[in-house]
Amino acid sequence: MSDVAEDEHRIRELTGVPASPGIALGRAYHLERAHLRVPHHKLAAGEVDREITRLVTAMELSRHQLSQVRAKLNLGDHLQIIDAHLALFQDPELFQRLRQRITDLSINAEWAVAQVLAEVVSVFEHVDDAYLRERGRDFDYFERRLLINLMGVKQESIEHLADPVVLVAHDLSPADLANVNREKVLGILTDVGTATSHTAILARAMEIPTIVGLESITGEVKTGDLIVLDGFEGKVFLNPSLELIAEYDTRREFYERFEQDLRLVRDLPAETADGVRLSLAANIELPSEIAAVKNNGLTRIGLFRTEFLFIFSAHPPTEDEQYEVYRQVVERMGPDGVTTIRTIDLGGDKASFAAAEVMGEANPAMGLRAIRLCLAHPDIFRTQLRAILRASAHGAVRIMFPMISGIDELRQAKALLAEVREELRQRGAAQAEKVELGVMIETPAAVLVADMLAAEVDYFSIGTNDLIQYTLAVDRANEHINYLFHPLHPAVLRAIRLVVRAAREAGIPVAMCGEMAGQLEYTMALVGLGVTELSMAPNKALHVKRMLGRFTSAEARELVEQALTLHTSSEVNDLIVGRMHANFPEEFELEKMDRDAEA
Amino acid sequence: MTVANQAGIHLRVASKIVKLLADFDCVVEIAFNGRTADAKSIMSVTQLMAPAGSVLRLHASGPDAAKAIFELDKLFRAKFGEE
Repeated sequence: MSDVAEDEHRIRELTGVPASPGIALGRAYHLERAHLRVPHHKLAAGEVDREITRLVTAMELSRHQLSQVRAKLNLGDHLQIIDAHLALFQDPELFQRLRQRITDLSINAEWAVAQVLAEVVSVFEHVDDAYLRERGRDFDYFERRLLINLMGVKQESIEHLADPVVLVAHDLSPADLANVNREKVLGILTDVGTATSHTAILARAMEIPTIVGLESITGEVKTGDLIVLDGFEGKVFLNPSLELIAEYDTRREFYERFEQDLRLVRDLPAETADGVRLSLAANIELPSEIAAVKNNGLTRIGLFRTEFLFIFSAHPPTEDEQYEVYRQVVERMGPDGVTTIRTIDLGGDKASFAAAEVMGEANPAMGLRAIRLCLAHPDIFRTQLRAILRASAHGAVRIMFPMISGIDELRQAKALLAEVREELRQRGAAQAEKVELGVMIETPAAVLVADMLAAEVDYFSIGTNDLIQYTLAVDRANEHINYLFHPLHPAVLRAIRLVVRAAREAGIPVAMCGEMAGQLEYTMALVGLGVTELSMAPNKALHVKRMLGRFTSAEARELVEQALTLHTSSEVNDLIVGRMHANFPEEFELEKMDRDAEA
Repeated sequence: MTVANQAGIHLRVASKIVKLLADFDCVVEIAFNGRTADAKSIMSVTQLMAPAGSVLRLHASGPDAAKAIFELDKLFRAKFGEE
């Protein structure tokens, strides 16, 4: 090959900050963002009022433009970004400062804007926290939009583009992004920006592969240049070879096909290849996770942890405070939703109200915790139960007691629940007629009396993390013995089978809300064992649903029958995990890709 | 009140505080690290530059003062709906 040819094919690789995952191949479109030359001049006597009117008009116009952008977007929680910018255009203090500057110094509005904003931004430059230091940049878009409207500059629009392109720009504002036609933008590359900037957040929400912080990409790329963009790694290739293009095209197709499949799966029922339905549900900790629950096509919450309400405050939250939180969740889940609220599941060490009693507990895992802690503090427990019952007036609610180790505890808790129901009735407070009640199966004792428990509750939910820990007497956090933590230990399989049988005989459903429920290695075994509901982190649900469709219920039962004949954890593991990886490697690969993309 | 989300008080969080107070008839001041902000001004609140874990002092006066503090307490405790 001659030198010239080699030179022509020299690939240039640039690295920036990966801001939104995905791969894009295409022609660059260099979006020129003219540098705004801010005019400076002193005002003549009597011009001040006119200048302030110009400022007011530009603020109004900016607000109007942003409201229109907001109306166009369909981004759920990401609208907060636009809302924050809208709030700046409505900030009385900021407006007052701009106005004052014009009056005090008799300068034109543009000059005043540039001065005041430079001051605002400079305040952030000295803060220690790196994340907050960047936040001064969030004001840039405000400044630019206001200046553009004051100066009457026409911004180049990208709506006219005929073919899809990779946008290359010094910077893009959230409003710019909101205005682009998603079909026409393959990817985005910018000189500046960070992974936490508003533009990056929006790009992720719009699923546009994006790399920011490339420093000089606008100087390196002309409109029409061929570009390969790897949004996973934050790499851009200029002047790519055919081989490189082919390689990335394959990767892009692979990723896009899977993404598409996942989306298709979202609206399908969760069932095995032979049509046996399972119910999938979400584990959540905070009300803000409901967006993720819905994005993953889930209508049920199988575990709403309520500990966050109790950990952060010096005093337990009041009934009204808790009711507000529960009601919000129940309402947001909608009329078809079901919300399973678990009562406080704290070790005494984490609950401020019990700190004194558990001081120096030698064995906290077996100490005063969860339902035991609640029964020791009936006032706090009753307050929570009242708040939950009141929330049940707004949609389907299930109550779940954690760490039950015997019938006595269950009956005590139920008696309190009955009293609280009566109190509410007398108070005239609304509550649902029927609120399903379940227990978590987490202790070997609960497993062994599962048949008796089943007669007194509406459902079971197996909490695998604790069940494994207590059954095997292994603390997973203890590095000396955590090699013994085996989710597929024959004892664990037998325990789950016992629980399922007891539930089946009593005609109640068995859920599982531990980590195992969301792990693809175990999906087939859990179906084979007869678990009827799997509750997991919302982002696992689509993967588990895909996996369910890959096998029949008969195959799952056979797998479990075979596993139950094996005597050691490692044999069971080889059989189950080994088979899953051998038969469905794509599912694991996809899940890994998804995890990388989120990281 | 304690800033319990991971990111601290940034523009979007400030926007939630401002939005919450918009219709309340009261003046709320937030003090942190020698700075004081008008809680109804997003610029002012953002410029507190309060990182995760910082403790803010709030002072409210006016007819809706108690309600405002109650609602703000909830918002802070829910980590502003963030992680």
